[in-house]
Amino acid sequence: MLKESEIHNRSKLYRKILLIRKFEERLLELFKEGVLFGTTHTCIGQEASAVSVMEHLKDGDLVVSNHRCHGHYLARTNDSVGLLAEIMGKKEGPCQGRGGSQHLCKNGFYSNGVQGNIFPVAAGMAHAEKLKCTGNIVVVFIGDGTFGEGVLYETLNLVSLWNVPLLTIVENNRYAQSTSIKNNFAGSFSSRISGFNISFGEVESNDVEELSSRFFDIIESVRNGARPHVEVIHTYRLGPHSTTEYGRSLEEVEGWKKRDPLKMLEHRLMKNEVNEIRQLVKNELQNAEEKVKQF
Amino acid sequence: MRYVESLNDALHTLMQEDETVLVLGQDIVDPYGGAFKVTKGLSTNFPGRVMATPISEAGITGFATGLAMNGFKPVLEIMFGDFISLCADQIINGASKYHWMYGEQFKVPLVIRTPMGGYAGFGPTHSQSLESLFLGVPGINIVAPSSYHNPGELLRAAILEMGLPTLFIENKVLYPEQLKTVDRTGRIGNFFFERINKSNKSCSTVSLKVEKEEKADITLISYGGVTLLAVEAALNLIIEEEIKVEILIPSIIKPIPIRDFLESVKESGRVVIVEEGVRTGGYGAEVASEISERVFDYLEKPIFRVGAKDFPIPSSKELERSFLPNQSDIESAIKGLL
Amino acid sequence: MPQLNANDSVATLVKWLVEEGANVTKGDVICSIETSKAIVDLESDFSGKIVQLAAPKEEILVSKPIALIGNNFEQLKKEKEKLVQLNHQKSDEKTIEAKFNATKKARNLAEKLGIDLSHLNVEGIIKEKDVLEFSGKEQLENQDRIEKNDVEIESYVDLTGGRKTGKVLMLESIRTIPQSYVERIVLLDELVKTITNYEAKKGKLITFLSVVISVLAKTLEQNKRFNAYRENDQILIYKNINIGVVVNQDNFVSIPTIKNACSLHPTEITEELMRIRMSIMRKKPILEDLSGASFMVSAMDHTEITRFIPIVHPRQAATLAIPKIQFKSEDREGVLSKVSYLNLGLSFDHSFLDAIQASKVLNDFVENLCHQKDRLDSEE
Repeated sequence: MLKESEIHNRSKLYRKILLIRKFEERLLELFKEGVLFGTTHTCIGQEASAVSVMEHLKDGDLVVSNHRCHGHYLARTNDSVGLLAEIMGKKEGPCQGRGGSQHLCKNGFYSNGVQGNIFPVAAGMAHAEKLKCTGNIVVVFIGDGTFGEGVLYETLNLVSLWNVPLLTIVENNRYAQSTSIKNNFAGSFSSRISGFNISFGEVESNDVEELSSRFFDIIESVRNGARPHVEVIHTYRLGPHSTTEYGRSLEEVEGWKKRDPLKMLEHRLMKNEVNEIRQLVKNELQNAEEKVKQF
Repeated sequence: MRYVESLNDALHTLMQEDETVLVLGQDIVDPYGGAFKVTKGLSTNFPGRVMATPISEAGITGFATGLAMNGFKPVLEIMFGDFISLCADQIINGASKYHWMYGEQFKVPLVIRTPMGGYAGFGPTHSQSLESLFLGVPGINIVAPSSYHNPGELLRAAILEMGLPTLFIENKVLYPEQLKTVDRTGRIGNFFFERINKSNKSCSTVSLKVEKEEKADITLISYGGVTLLAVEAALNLIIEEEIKVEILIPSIIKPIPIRDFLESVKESGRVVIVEEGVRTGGYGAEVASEISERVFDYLEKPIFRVGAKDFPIPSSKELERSFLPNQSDIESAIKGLL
Repeated sequence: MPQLNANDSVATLVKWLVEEGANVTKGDVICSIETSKAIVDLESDFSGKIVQLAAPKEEILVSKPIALIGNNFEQLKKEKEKLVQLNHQKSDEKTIEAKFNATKKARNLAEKLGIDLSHLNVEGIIKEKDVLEFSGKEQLENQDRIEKNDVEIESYVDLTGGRKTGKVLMLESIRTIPQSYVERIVLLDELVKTITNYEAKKGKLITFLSVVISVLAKTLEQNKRFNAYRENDQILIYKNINIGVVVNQDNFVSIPTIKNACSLHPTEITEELMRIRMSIMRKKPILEDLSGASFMVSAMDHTEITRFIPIVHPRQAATLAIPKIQFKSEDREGVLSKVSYLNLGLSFDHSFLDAIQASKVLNDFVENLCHQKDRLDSEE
């Protein structure tokens, strides 16, 4: 339930989601302009999962992500300058330009671009926190496509066997690159996860406030119970997999645009607030871009 | 002291000294204590720090990497070296990259121990020497002690000093072997023993020479388990034909301690490299290229390599002995250079 | 001794748990064995009286017998005797082999010369040369030395030290430098007179070679490309003109080098050369004197060789050849007179220098020689 005191938080959440959205949109523009080198994977439409989770993490918690990591990174570190610098290959980026868009590391945030590869690593990190008795947890973001990788199941087994304080968030955006989940996935998420005796939950939502209050409870339980949990968020990617859209139907995409997390919050805020925040984010990103271009 | 005891001792001492050292692997807890007993006694003496894992090589390699990235020094045992292929993605796309690609923000002190090697009739999938597959993976070290080194000391160096993910290659045939000791004349058996540390302070290259001062006719480079055959071959050749062979036994395989080899190569001008792994694209190929790039003018003949044939390793005793390097292969290679 | 572990080739008998001659039944525990992994109790596979073959703490090879069990105790004891004798023989042979570990060649030679190997006092493996030394002989009969192509070799010498390095240098040179050669005649009478007068006049020593070196240095100043070397597609010109003098040296690598030769007067060069030669003779050579040459002069003027083509050293452009000073008769205005001359030669790297440039060097040399002679004449 949303408390009154959290309403002023709403604008904060809005700003965070807007920052991610505008950043990602700008990235796609920069690619079209030929300014960026390589490829990238934007999370347009999925911002709510990132922002709602990071709200409730402590400083010592670790976050592990995948190739579609910008939203997670920005929500956790608020470091748009560093992220842009890293994507542009500058040595001022957090990984000195070596990792680029998919391989980020800063202040306890890690991402790697090979599906599922970093999942057991996240588990190991979480176990380390447990051995050190810090009370910290590790949050790892995977997708529906990741469920094809064998090492995922090896890790789920380990995590359940050893009671590792790992919170796994599955962002089911229903597509693995260009393949619909219908063609990739036998059975259900819930039977797969609970088959390992791991606490499981799922929610279909793009509503950041709904997700935020849900995750408040989930994160508490993982931290206090020092036990693993897997939460599936059924969402949708409004942008392309990387830089070009592959054959999803226009109808489908348009349908999901109605449930855009950004629009949902905008409806609940005052128009002048929205405009103010839009301006702030615009300035923030412009400054970031200028700064990085001078590196 | 036996090779396996040296390793077991070193692990006991290390775990005593450093709380962050953890040991993981399949079937490693007491009373079984591991397939080759290297970890025997550890789970009893250090409860909570020795983890028996399910048969999930990829998962446990990633898990150990996560431990290494978050304050611990995990020592992971992979039961047979042949299974390192299951760990490959975690090593290649994970552990080996995290230090450099993240801009050197932290080290990854992960050690993966595994016994490679055949000559025991275990068949095609339990007898291989696959370490040379990893020569081309940047960001890792490979250490392979022979019975002329002190495996325990090398394991200690790998765990405490290297800071990079390290493949620690043991050998099934070497586990029960007594470690070689130097007598008062400076010899081990019939050979003068010397340590060369030009490339790496903790991982020395052992030099065995029949005559201390005289220059050798052939430089023979060999590591790990197959060194025993190389030494037999060299001994036989001196007795039969007075061919003087200097045997160089490196303990670190990657990076290649090339400076340790050059003096001997410059003197003899003739080199044979022996490995238990497959000859094609193996350790010998890499070392031969390095040597020829650096001291080509000193070579009298091309560099010969002896390795396993390009076939799966058969189970039958006689077949195995002919598919893996044997003493007469090594002797022919040496004689072919003279 | 059973194979208890796949990797073990031996095991140790710890102790017997039954007495010699005792009656054992199949299944009784008869002894303790230590393998690489554990201490294990061994059960008997047979019933009867037991005769022990192995002693406590003895290491036995896997599959070798450690005990005999049967009904006829006396017969068993005889068997044991036989086995023990056989073992002793084997170990004797081994000890003999082990005691004087000698190569085949050493044994053959020792047999031929009637030498008992145990008399040699050699640590480690006895080799043929040890036997030779012991026998006092210097060289081998040549029956035993037949080369692969069946030509008999009398003796052989190893290339070592400087000679070996020299071989390396020359092979490298041939591999990397395509060499060519030009030559011209230089008349020397005037110069010889000048040198003699100078020595008499000034009382200072000045050699022909040092004049050559100082003139050469001046010539190289005017022809910088010859004080250089080619690497890939670049000509690298040396900063200093350091002239190495190859004069009948035994040791290929130590070449007396006159550093910064253009700044030195021929008398100074003479002194330098003498100093360096003395230091070599006294066996106290200084490394800086014997290395760092950018150009070589090969002097054979004290020999009978009238013309020779020296090899250009790696990382150099050319080498000057100074052969023997010769004499010929020349008709000068109807008068027959004897003139001295030599065939001045220049080997050069044809990959970046050509014959026209090389001849210019020789011509400049001759002109500079003339000037130098004039300068020496005009000195007070």
